[in-house]
Amino acid sequence: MIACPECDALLNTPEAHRYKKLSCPRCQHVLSSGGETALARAFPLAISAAVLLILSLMFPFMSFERAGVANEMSLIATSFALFKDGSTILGMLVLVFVVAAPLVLVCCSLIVSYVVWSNKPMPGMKAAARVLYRLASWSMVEVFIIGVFVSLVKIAKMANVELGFSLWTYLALAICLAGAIVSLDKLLVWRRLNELAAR
Amino acid sequence: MCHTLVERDQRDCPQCGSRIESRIPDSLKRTLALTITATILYIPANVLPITRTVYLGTLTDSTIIDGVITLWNMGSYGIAAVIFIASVLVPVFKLGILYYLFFVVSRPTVRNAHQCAKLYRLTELIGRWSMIDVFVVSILVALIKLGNLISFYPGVGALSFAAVVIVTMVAAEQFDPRLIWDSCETDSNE
Repeated sequence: MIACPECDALLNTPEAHRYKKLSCPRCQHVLSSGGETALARAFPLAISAAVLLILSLMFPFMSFERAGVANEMSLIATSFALFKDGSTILGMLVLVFVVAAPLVLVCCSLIVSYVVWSNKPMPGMKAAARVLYRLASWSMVEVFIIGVFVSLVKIAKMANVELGFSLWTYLALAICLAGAIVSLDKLLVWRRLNELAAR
Repeated sequence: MCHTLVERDQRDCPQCGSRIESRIPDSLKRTLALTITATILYIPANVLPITRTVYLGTLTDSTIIDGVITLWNMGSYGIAAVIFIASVLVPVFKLGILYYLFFVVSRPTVRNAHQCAKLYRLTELIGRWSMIDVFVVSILVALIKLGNLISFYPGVGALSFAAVVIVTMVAAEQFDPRLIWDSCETDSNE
């Protein structure tokens, strides 16, 4: 039996919900996506996300050229440029939303999905799951990508802008990370972690 | 956190280790305080420039609305609309919804609980997308640095705007949706 986290209605969780979407009968909050089969997808997605994040940090993101003068920018540079111009707080925020939070999320989803995939308990797996579900809304990879396209339009008429390799890996990261998090259904993951911890 | 039900007097969840509270303490007070803070911050966010541009030696300041107008005049209607929705409509709607939820839940009975639950989910979904403009500023500042020829610098408005987004996100997190349902035990749709 569980309580709905949005309205506290109590409900029995039938075994069938593992393969079926489960919504709260009172407030219609989606309690579980019922993706028992999707759980297995989370680990490969998390590995891809980790590789893509590393690649995104290594290569240039965009470059800009006008009248023979050029400038290149990496992902981390977006926040360091703000540091340099005196907007320390803003720089830190961008760093957190665009690099740090995705990095922590990737690590946590790697740990949680590995535990689920291998069926072996691991120290720190519950802490990782807690951080994963709490931090999810503070990672803004997909918002940043929309920001990139808006900036492109803004500066397209001023100069030549070239898209770097990192932009594409970052775009792929957005998809893989979102996929991994969606696959790691909260209810099913906690049930699995608790079964493993009880062993 | 992990949906496990526990004894009434337990402080930490035996399964996942999270702190347990029946309801978020002072949920409404915190939500209101944060929403008011965000409303106040929203003024400098719109009045002060979010970017300062040096173009051929002259300095121009531009606010959020200036950015939207420039894009519109450039003929990029789609992008102008995206920015207008993300930077103007979404924050205003979100503040409005938070005030509305506070008002509804403070009354003795909640009649339209389903509608409130939907609004609450909407605020959680849309809030983060307002950060687009802040990211645009950071990209332009990092990328466009060619001395006096053309350079972008961040403005104070960008920080206030980022603060508005963050404070409203925290306000939405502090709002306890279970309060909507506490005072409507006789819901007809059950």
